[in-house]
Amino acid sequence: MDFDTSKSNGRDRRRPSGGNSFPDFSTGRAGRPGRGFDTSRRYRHQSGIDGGVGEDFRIPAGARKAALVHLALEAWRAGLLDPKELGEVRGRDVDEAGLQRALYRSSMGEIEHVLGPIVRGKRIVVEGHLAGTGRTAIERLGAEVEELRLEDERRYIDMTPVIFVVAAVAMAVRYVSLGLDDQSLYILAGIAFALMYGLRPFFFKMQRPRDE
Amino acid sequence: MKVATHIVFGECCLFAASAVFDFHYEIPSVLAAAVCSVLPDADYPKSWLGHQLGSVSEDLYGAFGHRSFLHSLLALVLVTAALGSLLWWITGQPATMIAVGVGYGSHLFADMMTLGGVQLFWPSRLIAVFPGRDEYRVVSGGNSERVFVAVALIFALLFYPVSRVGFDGLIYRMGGSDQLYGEVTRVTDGDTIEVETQGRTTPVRLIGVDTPETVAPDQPIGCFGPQASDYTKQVLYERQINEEGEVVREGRLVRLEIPRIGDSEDAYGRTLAYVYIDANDDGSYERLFNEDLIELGLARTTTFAHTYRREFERAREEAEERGAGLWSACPEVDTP
Repeated sequence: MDFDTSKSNGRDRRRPSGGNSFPDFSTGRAGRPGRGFDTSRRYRHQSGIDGGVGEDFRIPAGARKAALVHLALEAWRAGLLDPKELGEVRGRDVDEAGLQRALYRSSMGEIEHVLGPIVRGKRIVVEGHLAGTGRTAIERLGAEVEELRLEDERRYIDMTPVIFVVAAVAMAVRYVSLGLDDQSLYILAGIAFALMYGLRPFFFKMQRPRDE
Repeated sequence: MKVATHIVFGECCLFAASAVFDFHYEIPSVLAAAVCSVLPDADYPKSWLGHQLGSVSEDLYGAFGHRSFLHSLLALVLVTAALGSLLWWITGQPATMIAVGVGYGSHLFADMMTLGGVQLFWPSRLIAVFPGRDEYRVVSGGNSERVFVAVALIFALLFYPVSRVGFDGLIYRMGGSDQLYGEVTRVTDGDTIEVETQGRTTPVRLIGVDTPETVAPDQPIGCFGPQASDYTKQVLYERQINEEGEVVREGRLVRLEIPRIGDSEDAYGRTLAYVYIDANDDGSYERLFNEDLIELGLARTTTFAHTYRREFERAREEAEERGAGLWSACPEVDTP
């Protein structure tokens, strides 16, 4: 029995026919490509650098799970991966969107178990930088990883964590002011720390996502 | 960002810094902060300042590009050291140097909050942004900039009164004070008196002022100390006579204001208070005698926090500029 979980209700084709005519399975909102998880070639990051000779897979930049998911999708497109090996697929026939959902629901260990034999000894080109332990995870599977960077690529440094330093200073100043017997400094540092602590969830949210 | 946005945000930062970091400023500092808050845009020929500078701006743009060298920490340090010290030397007010740094730094911070960010660590090409998420940053010239300037204006208006009295002053005012009325029975020296109130004689030390010593056993008589002591005696220990010529009381009636925050007594057991006199004989007791001593150049200011610290410092600077009292008679006196 076919339990199609895609929104297109089976109108999209079940498997890609190859070539460059992939449908847009973007997870972004209002027709915009999803950031870092867009699997359509239309919205692929244009690095301006061609991959080296003999690349087996090409994936966009991302963190560990996103990289594994993209890699699994690429393997599926190449006909190397059987979706039914994933527990989350539950033996159904799935299209790309369904597979992507199943991959994100799966644990990283399970994806690595399925991908391991497929990528061993293969060369994987990443269009950018693999954040966190993404590179280590793929290399552990026995693949060779190449990360592409443009010479004039804009690189950002997020200054939001400075707020946490200020909060730490405010907390320290409270104790210093107690030692100095300075009441107004104690009140000022207390107000500053209370503000920082109260707005803490917002400050965490303000930080730049690691994938960008 | 627009010029007005940078000026408003620069002033907001100056008022906030003055309130929190305990320095007082005058008009030159306000102007310095305003000018320096637009200075980094000299590297952009399309900006307002770029238009005024003409070819200089184009050369800067050609050499470094926009939001690079002039928007870096290196430029902030160089401009503060060069322009700030020059203004300090010209005006004689250290606050102008702080204002230069705050104004210039406010521009970097404001631009860091835009989508483009700034090369804060130039010559490194890393673009510093705050906050990190693009959707939370300001779009230059857009609605978000209008919201930003409105919020900065509100904060500037809130911080301005606090910056005039200082955060200490605000806290002390919020804490309130106790009021006592009494008769001055003795003047020990320029800043110490004895007041009889509620049947008890209490030694009182005037808060925030320090007249040269005249009675300290282990110290010589200070320059202009006798004059300060005589003035206090003349004003506070004035014999009160009624219309018939009869002596009503030997000393003057005063109002003592004792802050509730901080110590109420000093190390010698003297009550710390502001002394108000009824200068107009209408029973209002609104004239602050402590401030009179400073305005006439008879006392220096103390460095510890109290309610009217900022006001006293302003009065002391004016007296110093006029060369009033000890400021001209005792040129070797140390400025606190």
